[in-house]
Amino acid sequence: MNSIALQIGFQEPVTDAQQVFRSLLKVMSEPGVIESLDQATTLETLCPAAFSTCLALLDSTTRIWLAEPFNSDAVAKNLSFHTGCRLTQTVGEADFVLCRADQLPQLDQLKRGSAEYPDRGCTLLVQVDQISDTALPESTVLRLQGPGIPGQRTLAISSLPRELIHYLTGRPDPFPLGLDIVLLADNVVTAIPRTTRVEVN
Amino acid sequence: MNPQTIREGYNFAYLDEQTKRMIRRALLKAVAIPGYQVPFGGREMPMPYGWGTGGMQVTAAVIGENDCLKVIDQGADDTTNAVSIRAFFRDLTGVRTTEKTEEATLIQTRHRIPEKPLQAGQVLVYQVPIPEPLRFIEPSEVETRKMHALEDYGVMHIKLYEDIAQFGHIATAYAYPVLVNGRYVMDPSPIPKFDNPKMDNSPALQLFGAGREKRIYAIPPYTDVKSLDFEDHPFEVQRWEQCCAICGSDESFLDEVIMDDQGAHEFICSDTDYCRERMANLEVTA
Ligand SMILES: [Zn+2]
Repeated sequence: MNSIALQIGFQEPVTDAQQVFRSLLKVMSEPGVIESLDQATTLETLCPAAFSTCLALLDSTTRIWLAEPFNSDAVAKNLSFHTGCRLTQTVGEADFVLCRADQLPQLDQLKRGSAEYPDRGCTLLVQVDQISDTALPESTVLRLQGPGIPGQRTLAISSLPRELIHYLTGRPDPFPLGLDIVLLADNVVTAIPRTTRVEVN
Repeated sequence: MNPQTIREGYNFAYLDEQTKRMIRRALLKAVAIPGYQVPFGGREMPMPYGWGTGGMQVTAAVIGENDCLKVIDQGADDTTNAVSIRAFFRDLTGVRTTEKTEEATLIQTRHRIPEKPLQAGQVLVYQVPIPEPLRFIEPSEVETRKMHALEDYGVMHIKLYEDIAQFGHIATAYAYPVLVNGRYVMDPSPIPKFDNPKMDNSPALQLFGAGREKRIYAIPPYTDVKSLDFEDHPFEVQRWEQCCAICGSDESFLDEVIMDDQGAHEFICSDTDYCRERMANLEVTA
């Protein structure tokens, strides 16, 4: 049997979880704002921002679906150990889906909740290479409007897959349904919740 | 932060981490669906419901050691309710507290929004007794959920219009319903309708917690919040013929107070911090 190394999660579990949550609350309520998130370290292929988010939000009452390459034994075992979260093989029952931008699951299979309970939809955590408020090489520049945004806000994401761009600009799910998307790169985070109207520059 | 300032044997901000996470996940969904009531579970606070346990649960899930907390009840920092809640969080978090609106990063409130405009980065947590604005029309939660899902808000307009038929104007003065982001009708908690315009496009984040019914809802910063009204009866806020008897303000929300045994009465600002600051400024310029 291969033994898999357990890594340290948060150094200060109570304080770190609170700070990560406040950053997530900030970016979810002010879409396109970029916050730093480095309370945890890298976990194999998972960046510090993504590992920090998992540690702050997951527990035994949440189901997570891991895409390649995050469905490795090391990531799965560390997440289970630190949070007690339940791993699911069925993407449609996941409360959280964690993937890299180039390994998106079929978006139409993710849990959407219902018109009576739109909060029961899935939160999609997407790890990307770079997030910036100004254009980057090979990045998609998004123009965001909606709640949390005075006027409009510009957000550049590197290597954003066409499928996700289509989802964001087309918004196939009528509000209040929709995916809330958290974008994570290295040690920063931003979010695009279901209320945000997105155009590509 | 000095850890010795936290009461021994308790978790930071009282709630256990599992309950905080549940509330935090609910808060993230609440800001993603402005005005929609997210159900949440979890532990009770060690206070009776009338004391604003919903607001306290939200504050406990949000507060961190870098926060500066202000607590108001009916606009005042020095009522029993406000003093107790402020002491509770000071003892169980060690955070700084303040009575000055502009110094606070986190403000828990019952029944008022401060007069001083809130700023970007501030979080306002409302204590909510009854979260469902349609409850007085429809007692069934299944039915009110359906009405929100279908945007079936006709009954709410009928209720407001009955006011007009009966009184010649909309008589609802507190907990006056609002439409958030053009979609959800929301109860702003029992604030006076005087405060409703402050909710619209506020740079601050507004969070609402109802303890008894275990509901959380939110208004992100820079979000449209419109008080319900009719073209021929537009929304209006309360106005007073008097000024504040202490600071002379003619634009703040006033409470009527009895001054003596003869029943003489005066009007004074309900926002004690606002009133005190105006007095201090008047003394400086005098
Ligand atoms: Zn005054």
